[in-house]
Amino acid sequence: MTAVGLIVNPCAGIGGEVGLHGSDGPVLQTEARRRGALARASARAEVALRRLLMHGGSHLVTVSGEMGEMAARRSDVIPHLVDYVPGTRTTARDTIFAARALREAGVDLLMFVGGDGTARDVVEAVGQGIPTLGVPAGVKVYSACYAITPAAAGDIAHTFLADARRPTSLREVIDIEIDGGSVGRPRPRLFGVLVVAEGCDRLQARKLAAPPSGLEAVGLVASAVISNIERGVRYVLGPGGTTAAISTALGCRSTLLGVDVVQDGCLLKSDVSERELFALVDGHPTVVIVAVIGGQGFVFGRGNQQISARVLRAVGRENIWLVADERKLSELVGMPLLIDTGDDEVDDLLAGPVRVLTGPLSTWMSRIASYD
Amino acid sequence: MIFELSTPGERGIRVPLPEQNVRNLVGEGVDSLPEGLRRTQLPSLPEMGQMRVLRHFLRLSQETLGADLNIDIGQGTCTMKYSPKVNERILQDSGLRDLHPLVRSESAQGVLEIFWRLGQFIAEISGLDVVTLQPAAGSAAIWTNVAIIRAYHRERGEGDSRDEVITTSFSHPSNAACAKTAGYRVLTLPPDREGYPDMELLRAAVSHRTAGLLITNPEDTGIFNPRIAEVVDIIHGVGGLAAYDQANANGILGITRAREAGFDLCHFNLHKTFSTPHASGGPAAGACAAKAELSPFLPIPVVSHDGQKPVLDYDRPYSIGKVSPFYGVVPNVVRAYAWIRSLGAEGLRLVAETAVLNNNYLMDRILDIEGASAPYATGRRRLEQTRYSWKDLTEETAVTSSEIGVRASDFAVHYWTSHHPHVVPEPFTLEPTESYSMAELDEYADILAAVAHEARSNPKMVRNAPYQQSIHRIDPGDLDDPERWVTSWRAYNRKYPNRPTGHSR
Repeated sequence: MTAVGLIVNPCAGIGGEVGLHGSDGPVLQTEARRRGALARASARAEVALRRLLMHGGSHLVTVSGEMGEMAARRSDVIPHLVDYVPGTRTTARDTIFAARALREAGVDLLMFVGGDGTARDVVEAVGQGIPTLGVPAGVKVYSACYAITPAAAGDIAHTFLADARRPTSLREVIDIEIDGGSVGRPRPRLFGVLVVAEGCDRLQARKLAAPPSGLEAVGLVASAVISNIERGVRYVLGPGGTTAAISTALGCRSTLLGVDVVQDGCLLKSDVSERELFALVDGHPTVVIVAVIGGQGFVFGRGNQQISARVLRAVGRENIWLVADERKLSELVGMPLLIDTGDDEVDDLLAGPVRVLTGPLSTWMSRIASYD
Repeated sequence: MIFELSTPGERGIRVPLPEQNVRNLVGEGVDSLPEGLRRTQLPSLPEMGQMRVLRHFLRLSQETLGADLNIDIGQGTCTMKYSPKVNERILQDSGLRDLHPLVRSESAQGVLEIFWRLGQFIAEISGLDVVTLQPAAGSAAIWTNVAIIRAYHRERGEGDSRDEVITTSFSHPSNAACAKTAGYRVLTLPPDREGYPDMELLRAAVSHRTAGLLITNPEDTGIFNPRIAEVVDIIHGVGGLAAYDQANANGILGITRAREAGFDLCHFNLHKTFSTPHASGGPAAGACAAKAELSPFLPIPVVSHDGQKPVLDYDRPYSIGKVSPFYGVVPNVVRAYAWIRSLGAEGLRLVAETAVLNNNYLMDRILDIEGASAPYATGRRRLEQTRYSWKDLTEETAVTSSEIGVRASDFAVHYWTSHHPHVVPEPFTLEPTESYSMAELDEYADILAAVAHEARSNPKMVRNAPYQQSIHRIDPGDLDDPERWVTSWRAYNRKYPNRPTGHSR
């Protein structure tokens, strides 16, 4: 019998749908709840757990309450609980103490459900002392220690525990620091390295920053988009430097990490929440423009949770424009584009061959894979 | 630049003025020019003595690493084969050298006969029916094929509805560029895991909007696509035309042809496969071949034959027009003709077989170097070239492919990494052609092995190279940034007005 440790950061990803770009710290979390955000980390933990435990052969060790116990019970598992008891409003300290308690309990694998902030806490707590695996539930998730979806995390954990060699690799924990508030330029920083259960293409890559020489390529993408824009249509611009270049070319001041809506050359609403976005696009001709995340290949479900499954359903597959410069796509050749909207039906709807706009008159063929 | 060496008043030779009584009789020389053609001020030319001019150009010639100076196999995809010097002798014949392009065709029967015969050879080599030798370069030939595709669809009333062209990421970038220049939206197919164009994505890409396919085979990986006929069938299935970029034909001459794969059009680079020199931006030469049904669209004039003699045929109402002045690049057409005649059919096949053998021998040597790999189709042979990767070496040492290429130049060989987009990370592409001996290939491989070893033992040495070159590294931005690059003295003065020039020093 192998032992799997589980930590859920119940606040992970809570800021995503309400347009806060992150969920770290009590200030953002309170604001997210005030804006009506719902915690989604626990539900994503359940997907991973069910996937892992349907294979049998492991027992679960976790922390009481919403840091693991509740997700376990909802997945019909009775977990062993470590002694550490987190506070009612959990913080980074709780993740760190819980991780150490699980290491002391001798688990074979430490699964943690969260985003880049959670991964930072885990690397601070256990360093490279124990095999780990991230279940993605954060807003952007630049780090390479996460599976591509919660279901993939369950499969990786099962394969890892069933393999006596326990194959692992060292993978980066990356988070961003923002200069000058949400409109400033985010600077990705390496916070450490975790020992992660080997998952090959079921583990996501770390996000790659665009090289300075890529600015011209991004400009080409922007000019290609501009030449296809029509009056009367609402354009939803996802986060990132590529879509920001589109806003700039339209003469709008956009948010680099937020989702903006533009119509007829004017910024209709900047940095929208999921609810605001749905109200803007439902029943209105709309095009969603998102950039492929460099190095990872994600198009939905990382950093743009505002563009939710129901928004995508309302907009329709044919009104989604994927954009990326050729260099970014070249680095992704051999890997499919990824989605993780949290809604299997929408993931399946979007899966398959797609066109990615790379510049004036230039399109690359690619495909979106949904994980099942 | 020679402009910077200028010294006011210095002259090569002083031309004496005509004697006074001659001038009285015929006037000043410029008087015979119409007023509108006369200069109002003297041209801005460098002023210097003959000896300094000679020294300047001889020095420049010593700063290059040209095909006659090194084992020039590092410009993979360029097919840098030997251009026999005897073919240059033929061009010195006054009948060719002094021929004016406006001479009547009755007085140019010899050269037209060469055009006609070379066209027949290209038709035989490609298996297609009609040929034009007018394009002045490989890209001009691709452009010609795109223009024919466009004219074909226009003639059928589908010119506006068919607005997409499909190509692959390992085909030559000129394919995408020419299609865009013609106004087409280009759909690029990435490779599948084996390195072939992704068939599922091809099926998803084609539609009633597909005008055509532009594809190289073997692609720049050196991997021959055995499903190429299936690719062509998919394009034909939606009413598109398929054009074969045969820039990589050196490994398949006499072995497989465009016709057998079902192509409607193809093009060859005479300066690659058929040995006429790459003119470094000067005139190269392209040959396009097409199926008979596309004959009406060929550029005018078509060099055809009336059974007695070659004639220039301008009577083509559906022609795409002209793609270069006159008929084509005569010296290169003559060189290619002479090269093919000297080899014959068996010789051409032997060229392909030797080029493939050379490449696979070299590949064995390169893959023995730790840190070098040949992505895709692992363990399988390549045709005439191979796209390699230093990815493993770079991950281990942080020394990049371009740094290794620069360091190799200290040992008097080089390669380039201009294989954008970089689908293969840290790429280098070697194409040894049929021209090089086993000893030369060994020497080249030994140099790369030594530099790879140095990347581990003394990476600084590699990263700070070159040490044996006339100039050190240049900022790549000077080549990439349109605001910074200069291709002429006039552009230099315009973009860098505050830099010191020869005149001001």
